[in-house]
Amino acid sequence: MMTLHIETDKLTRNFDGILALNRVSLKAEAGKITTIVGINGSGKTTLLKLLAGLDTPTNGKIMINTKIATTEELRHHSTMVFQKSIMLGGKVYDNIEYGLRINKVRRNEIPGRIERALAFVNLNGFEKRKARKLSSGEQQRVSIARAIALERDNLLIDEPTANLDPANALAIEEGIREALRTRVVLLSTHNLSQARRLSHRIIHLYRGTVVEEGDTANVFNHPLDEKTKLFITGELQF
Amino acid sequence: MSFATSALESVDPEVRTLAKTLGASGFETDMVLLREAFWGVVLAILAAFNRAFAELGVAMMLGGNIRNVTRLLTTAIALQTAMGEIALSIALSIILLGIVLVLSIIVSLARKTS
Repeated sequence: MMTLHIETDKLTRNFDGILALNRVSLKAEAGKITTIVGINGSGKTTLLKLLAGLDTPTNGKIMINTKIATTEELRHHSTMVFQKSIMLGGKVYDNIEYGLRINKVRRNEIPGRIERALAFVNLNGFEKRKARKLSSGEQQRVSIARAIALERDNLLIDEPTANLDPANALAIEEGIREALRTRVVLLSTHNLSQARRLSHRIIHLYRGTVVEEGDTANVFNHPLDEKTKLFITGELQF
Repeated sequence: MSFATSALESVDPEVRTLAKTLGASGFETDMVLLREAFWGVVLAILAAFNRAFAELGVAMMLGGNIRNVTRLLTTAIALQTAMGEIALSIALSIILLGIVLVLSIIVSLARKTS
């Protein structure tokens, strides 16, 4: 049986003459965390937005299980968690319920799904708390729970623990590991220790181009590309 | 109108992107933006109501202060003051202020409890 996967073929995104992504080809499979690493401005968020169907590529293809996917189909199969958590007004429960309601999940299924999603990120009992009154770490965990509750095939997470304390970062990483079992998880980060801890595969983006990809241990221990070597030692600049 | 527009504009533009990634259609995205701006829009409507309710000049010029037809609280207050009925005009002023105050308190309480 074919493993659920998402792949891109020569994906290019040009913003008014600025090449944000240049012929990016990659593959991410369910059951493995694929992490896109790179310095700021390397195209990580642009790539995730394209995979989430929130933007349209200038050129190239995105395929889900070898079938070319339109932006509508991508939106149907994927959901994205943003670096800056965005909370809707109301309670934590309302925030997660919103996504379920618009996706026409049956009413009697909703409370169970919300409870399970909150348990993923260790926020049990937070249902009635006002979402915007939570700390930024807790808000980010709600964002992940909101995405997990949708039970989409592809979970795309952009810099999930940027500026968070270690306890919140750990809770988020636990949530990501739990989500992994049945989904394709694509993560972007410039936090190398997190990438090393969480990922099965690493894709190094530099100025919109994939300069290296491979198993986490190989990329970190025996990088082939000069830019990856510099990135790992913290010497790579834009 | 400009208050309502600024209330809508003050909603974080990323809410639109969030709604899209959660699977909202164009209409559902607009609805969530409206919901996020709800209290801003209510306050804009309240401000417009208060402004119109306490308006004198325009009501007098356009309406003409005709008894039982276009006489409003504000024009009645002005008329009673001109006629020397100070006590009545003060009473009407208190009613006008009371209505504005009660409405503002109701909206404020509803906003807090929501």
